[in-house]
Amino acid sequence: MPARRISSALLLLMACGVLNACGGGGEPVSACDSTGTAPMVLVWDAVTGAEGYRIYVRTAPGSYLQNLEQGLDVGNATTFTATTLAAGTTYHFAVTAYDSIGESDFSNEACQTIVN
Amino acid sequence: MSERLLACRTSTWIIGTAVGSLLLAAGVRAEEQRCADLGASCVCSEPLNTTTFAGGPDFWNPADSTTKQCSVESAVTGGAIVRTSNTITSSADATALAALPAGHAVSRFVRANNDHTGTFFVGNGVRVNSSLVRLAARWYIWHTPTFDFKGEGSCDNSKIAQFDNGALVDYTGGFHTYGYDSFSPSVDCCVSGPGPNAFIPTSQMKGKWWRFEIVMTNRSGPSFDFKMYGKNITDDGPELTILDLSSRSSVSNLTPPSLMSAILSNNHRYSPSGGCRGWIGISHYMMAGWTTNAGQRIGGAAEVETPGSIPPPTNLRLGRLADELRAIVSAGAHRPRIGLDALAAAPTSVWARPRLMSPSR
Repeated sequence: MPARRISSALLLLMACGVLNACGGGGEPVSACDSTGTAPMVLVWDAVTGAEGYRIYVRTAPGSYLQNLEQGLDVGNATTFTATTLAAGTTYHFAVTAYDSIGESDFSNEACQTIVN
Repeated sequence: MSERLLACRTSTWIIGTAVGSLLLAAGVRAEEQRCADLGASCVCSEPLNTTTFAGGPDFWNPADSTTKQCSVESAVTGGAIVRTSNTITSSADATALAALPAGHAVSRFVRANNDHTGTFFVGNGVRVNSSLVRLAARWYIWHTPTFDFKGEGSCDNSKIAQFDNGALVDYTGGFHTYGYDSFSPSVDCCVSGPGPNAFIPTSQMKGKWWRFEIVMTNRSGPSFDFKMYGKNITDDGPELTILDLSSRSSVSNLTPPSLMSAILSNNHRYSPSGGCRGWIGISHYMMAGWTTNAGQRIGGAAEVETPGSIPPPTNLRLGRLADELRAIVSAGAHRPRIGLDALAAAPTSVWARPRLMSPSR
């Protein structure tokens, strides 16, 4: 376990404000009343049989900025960290699972308005 | 709707429907899986995977939907197809079926006659409650290898989709939308597009199945918007954003005269002489709506292109950096960083993205 990675993460932890959750299941929400500082750490529950996951994001009401099947492929990870987010911008993230046959529907959303 | 049909024909249709209902007693299929999965968000579903179409001569009710039926007009419940004074056929054309993705469950689809012209609508034109702020319709379309779009052969018109208040999409050397004369401001947009992938050559559509999906927002205005997505499922091409009304300033702040609800597959063709060659087939139309505008899509039909399905991840939430720390500890090794370049590789990625750190588990 490289010590410098732990140190780096601890520094980030200390520098970061409290992150709040939103969009905690069911139909995605379009409003976002969560504020916080970058980076955003996304966490989701694993899906049995999934070969990987894709990340989708939008910064305004409407469609995600990536078309279906073109979200960012993060492999079989179940967390994801976004950094250097623009202050004053609200980010809405969703995740899909995929297997050898196809891609799932979108998950619920997680969102946050960056204030730093 | 741009074409209103005579009410006197409704009675004929009702009789036909009654006869057809008897034929439906056995072997009726329900809505497609995606509709069932969406539950209340599914407005209607017409798999069109049937040999029986009740009614006629104008409105036709596919036999494989008895719940959540689509209707082109409210006066004719279940009349999801309009083919005025012309025939429709249940097809099992071998060339078309062979062009579907492996593992599909489609045995029949609806088609027009050879070298068809005239009215041919499929879908839902009935008013959908304005509480559904995001409305989408998706269908699959097959163009025969010899199909004439506008400007090819003697064909002078080839439409793609029909909305309310006269707005529509057609193909004239590329996809384009127009008919906003009754909107405020009045504009007859657009000579081309607007959209990032409006110029899809006809050669990429002939002899192929495409999935089209149109998503409407701000349906009462201002800033009425729709986006049209397309994917060549025969060749498993990438999904493209074909049209995007918001991408051109002249039509990015339109207010319609009334709520926009109809999203029909419009397959009207016209030829002043010589006709239009080829024919189209349609499969698995469905409409869905949501009370939030949060990126929802209908996407593919499991019966057509994704047999079997995987459930979406659940409980997506914002974690704390402690989660990231634990992930680093458990991973025990350096993971590659995924930066802007990775996201930029996505063909339709257009936003100024955040820098994204490594995924971890």
